[in-house]
Amino acid sequence: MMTLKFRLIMAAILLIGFVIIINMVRKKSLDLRYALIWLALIAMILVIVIVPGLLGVITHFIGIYDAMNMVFFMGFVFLIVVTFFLTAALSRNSNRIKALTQQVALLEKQVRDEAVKVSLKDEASSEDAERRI
Amino acid sequence: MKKLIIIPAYNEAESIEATVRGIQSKMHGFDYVVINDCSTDETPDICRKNNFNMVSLPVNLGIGGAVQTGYIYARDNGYEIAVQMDGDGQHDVEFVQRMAEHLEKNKLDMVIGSRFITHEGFQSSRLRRVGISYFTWLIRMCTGKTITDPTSGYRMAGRRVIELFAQDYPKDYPEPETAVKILRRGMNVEEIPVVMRERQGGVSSISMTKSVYYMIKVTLAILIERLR
Repeated sequence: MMTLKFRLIMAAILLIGFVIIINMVRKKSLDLRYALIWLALIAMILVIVIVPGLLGVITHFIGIYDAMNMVFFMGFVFLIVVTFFLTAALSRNSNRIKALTQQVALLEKQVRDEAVKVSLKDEASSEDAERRI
Repeated sequence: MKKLIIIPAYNEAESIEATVRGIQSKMHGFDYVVINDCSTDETPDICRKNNFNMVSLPVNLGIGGAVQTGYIYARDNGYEIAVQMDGDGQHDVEFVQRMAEHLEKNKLDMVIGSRFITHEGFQSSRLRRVGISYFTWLIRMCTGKTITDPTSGYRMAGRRVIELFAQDYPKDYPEPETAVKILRRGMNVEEIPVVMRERQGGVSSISMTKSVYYMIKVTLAILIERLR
């Protein structure tokens, strides 16, 4: 079904993707935690590309007529699942940011109030000193 | 009894000074705190210059997060009554005082000011009233209690509600949802009549397109609250 040429092109693309992901993890611009799902996807596609006839076996096993239909369907499901978990992660993060923002603002207020108190005290004591002189 | 007025402010440079001065002169027995929701205009500068009591959020959180900051402030500073007042002139000082008296006298957890007890003053548009009575019905279904004006902005919180709101507060359109939350925890809520004026300037935050979102979001929030 897949020509050797196509298999080689796919393998090359997957290899490039793998290198990019590892490099991003190394530079800490991608969390390993989130990289795992993409690495798993690459591994899965790689197995399908390398093992001849595997795609046909899976397609037949699930009960889909055409291999391409299954590829599109699986890709679609995968993207929906990833997006769903992204929105969950986003909700969690926005709640964390909200709590942090509130704490920072309340602390900043306390610091500002203390500073005002100290400066008032300083003024009062310097006036005292002037009076004594 | 320590009482606090929470004033959320987002880009209110033109009105914030008048709002705070008005509250300082008229609201005897109440402290206030301005929550600056990361305004991009001179709102925080005006507050600092006038030495207003202000908490200034470094990131814009939206109305829910700002008001919740006020409740956290109330909780941490030992306030026993907290009420939110906006600068748009819809809230009447006299009624807030009356609500505080009612809350203290009857040892309630929350007092809501309702337009629909005496039917005086601004009654909102017919379409909005249909929406409001729908929420009254939904809340009765979920809690067995009747709140005649579940979207009212006049909502005064006692100590237990302050602690609850400090921990958990909706991000937007909190009124009907929090009413259910409080009623389902068995807290005491009562309504007293208030007269609302039509807003003096600006437009309602709930436009036509947003009302669809409002209806769906609040309905879901109430039903999910029912499941807790």
